[in-house]
Amino acid sequence: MITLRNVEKFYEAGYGRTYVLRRINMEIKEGEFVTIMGPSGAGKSTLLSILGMLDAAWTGEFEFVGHQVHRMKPKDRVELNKKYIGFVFQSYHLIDNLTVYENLDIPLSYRNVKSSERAAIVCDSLDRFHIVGKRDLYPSQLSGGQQQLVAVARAVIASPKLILADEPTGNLHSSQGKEIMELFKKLNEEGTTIVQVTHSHDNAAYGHRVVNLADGWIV
Amino acid sequence: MVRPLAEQIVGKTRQALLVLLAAVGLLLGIACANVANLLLARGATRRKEIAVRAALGASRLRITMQLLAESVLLALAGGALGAVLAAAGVTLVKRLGPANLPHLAQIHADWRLLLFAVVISVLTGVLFGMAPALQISSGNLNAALVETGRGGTVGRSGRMLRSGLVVLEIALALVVLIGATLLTRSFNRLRSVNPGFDSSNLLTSRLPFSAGRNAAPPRRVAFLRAVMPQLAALPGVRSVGASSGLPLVGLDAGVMFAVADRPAPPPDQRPMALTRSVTPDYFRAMGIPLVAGREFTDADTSRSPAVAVIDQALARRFWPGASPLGGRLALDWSPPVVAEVVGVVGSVKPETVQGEDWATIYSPYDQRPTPATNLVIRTAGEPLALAASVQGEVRRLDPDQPLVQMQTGDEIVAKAMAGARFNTLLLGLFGVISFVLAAVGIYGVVSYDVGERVQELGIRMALGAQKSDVLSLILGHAVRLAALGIALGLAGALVLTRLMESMLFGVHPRDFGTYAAAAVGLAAVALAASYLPARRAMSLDPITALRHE
Repeated sequence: MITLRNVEKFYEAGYGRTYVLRRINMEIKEGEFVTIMGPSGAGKSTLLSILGMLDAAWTGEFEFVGHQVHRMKPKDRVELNKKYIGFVFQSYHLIDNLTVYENLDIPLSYRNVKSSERAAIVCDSLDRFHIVGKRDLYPSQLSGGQQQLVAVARAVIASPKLILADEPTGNLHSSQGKEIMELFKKLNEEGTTIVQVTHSHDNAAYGHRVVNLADGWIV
Repeated sequence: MVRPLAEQIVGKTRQALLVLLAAVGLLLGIACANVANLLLARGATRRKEIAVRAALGASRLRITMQLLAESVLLALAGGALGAVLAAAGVTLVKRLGPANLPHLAQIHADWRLLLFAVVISVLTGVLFGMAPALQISSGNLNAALVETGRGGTVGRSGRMLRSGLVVLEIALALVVLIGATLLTRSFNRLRSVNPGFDSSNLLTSRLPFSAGRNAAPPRRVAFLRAVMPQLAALPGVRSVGASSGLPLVGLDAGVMFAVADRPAPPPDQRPMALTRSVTPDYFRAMGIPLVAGREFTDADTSRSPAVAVIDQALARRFWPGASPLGGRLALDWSPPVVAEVVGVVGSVKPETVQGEDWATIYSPYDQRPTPATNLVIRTAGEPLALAASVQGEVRRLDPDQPLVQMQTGDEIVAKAMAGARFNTLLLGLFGVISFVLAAVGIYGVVSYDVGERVQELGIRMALGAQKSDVLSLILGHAVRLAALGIALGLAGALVLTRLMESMLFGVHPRDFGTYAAAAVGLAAVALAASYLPARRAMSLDPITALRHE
């Protein structure tokens, strides 16, 4: 599904280049649950951003479900993101002035899904994640765990083939975190590829393998 | 007709002054809404500071008072600057204002203006500082202390208040803009009105005969008969005439009359016409066209039968579809005179360009020499270049005969339109200012909105939003605000422009074209003003945006 060859990211500084990622070669197969670990500043989140097409300033080759990402225009990369990828963030990143229902509707609205279909999909999703009672609440009216649950529901609502999760339990207490990880495991068992960044070995244990990063290198 | 003195002095200007005052009020409203928006934006960035103050024991009243004090101080500083500008503005108004503006010379900036500025400043400071102060000091201040850790985006109430203020701004700006456009169109119509005479290359001057050796009627006639050939012989002079009154200067004298040989109406129902005593070359000198019959000649003297030339307005009214030539007018002069109509000339505007044509009866000057006499000289070139020569000829004949108020025909027309020009200039200026303020307002709000929604935009991009989605999100917000503001502004203009009815000429207060043009113009400016921040939003890097706090 994903092949990275010699992917590098760096910033030009006055004294030379500062590398964030160096010669990353990596392969992720469809249906895998991969964990990226490493100390702070190792480049984990940057790698996740590159995989999610959010970061375009890198060098090397990136192949994603048969597409040569490194040769694609930014607009086409966004289309690829829309078609295949769902994101879960550490800080949930729900939109505060939208209700739970409206937050779930956003990814569908960017995928040209008809409004009648969108309503059905959102209602299904509310049901599936047991948050029907929260549909008209705003994020500020939810607990951290509930917000992350909504964030996961939002990530999977457009049926992505790949979920990228950046420290998804970082702001949650252990029982809430466990609940989210169980959810990821279930989604993976249903066929969704998952790449997560985490500091937690317990969370890493939910995945199939671990990729360790240190100072931008895979170690 | 008896009218109170105050009404006589300010009557025609009152409505215009009220409209200008209303426009100033609207402009103040726009400026205040802008400042309130700035206060709100500044307050939002100070939420943490306010929360710390609250945590340290400051009550909501105390915080509100502090914020109000800041806004009043800001308003006072603005008021002080405004008072300085007002003092300069008064000088400008005195220079540019129409001569017929009542008490123009007495207008000056004094302590009352200063006091008014202070009172208005404090009031606006309190009025428009109150909403932001209450908004900022309310809500969950504790959340402000901890909110940065939650990855949240910004709430609704502040945005709604700011959006509401911009809607208000746009609505007020549109009202001013429609008023200004109506006046501009009216003024343009006014400029295209034919006053009935050719004002170019025309020199006029008053030749008062009310005292001195030319005061007696025969002497007036004799003096004119002597001076006019001398003036006509001056190089650059094409023709010379004289008249008891000039167009666009005032109604002057009038007379009750009846058409002789027709059943006479009762004396109190007799029609009235303006009367002018003119010399034979007057119509040629003024460029008033002869429509039928003849002009006066040197043979029309006090000893010849009484004759009259009438204007088209009178001819149409009393001889509709027939020739008035040979008709006879019974004029209620003392003693009464019956004059034969020998000619018809074009109508001229007697008082104002926008005014109606008045029925006018012209008599030969020799038959009715008036003490108020005006010389009119048609020149080949610049009229004022002949002023000294004309003065010299008059003095040469009679050194004691005054010749006053020398002015060109174009100056007469310009003076007749000075009030309309002044109103248009002022309201036009207000329109431009309101346009700019509205643009600044919507730019500020959209710009602030983008700044506030950086993280939200990052989230949306991460969830699949293309740049075009971001653009339509930001522009859509601006378009909604502009549309609402324009709808309210149109409704407001429909009501308020009725006040302007008496100031308009040839343009209806609800002129569709004007309303549409102003609305489209303001919408275009609103879109342009919001496009810049929208472009900034489009160029956001999603990674940076997601990390934005």
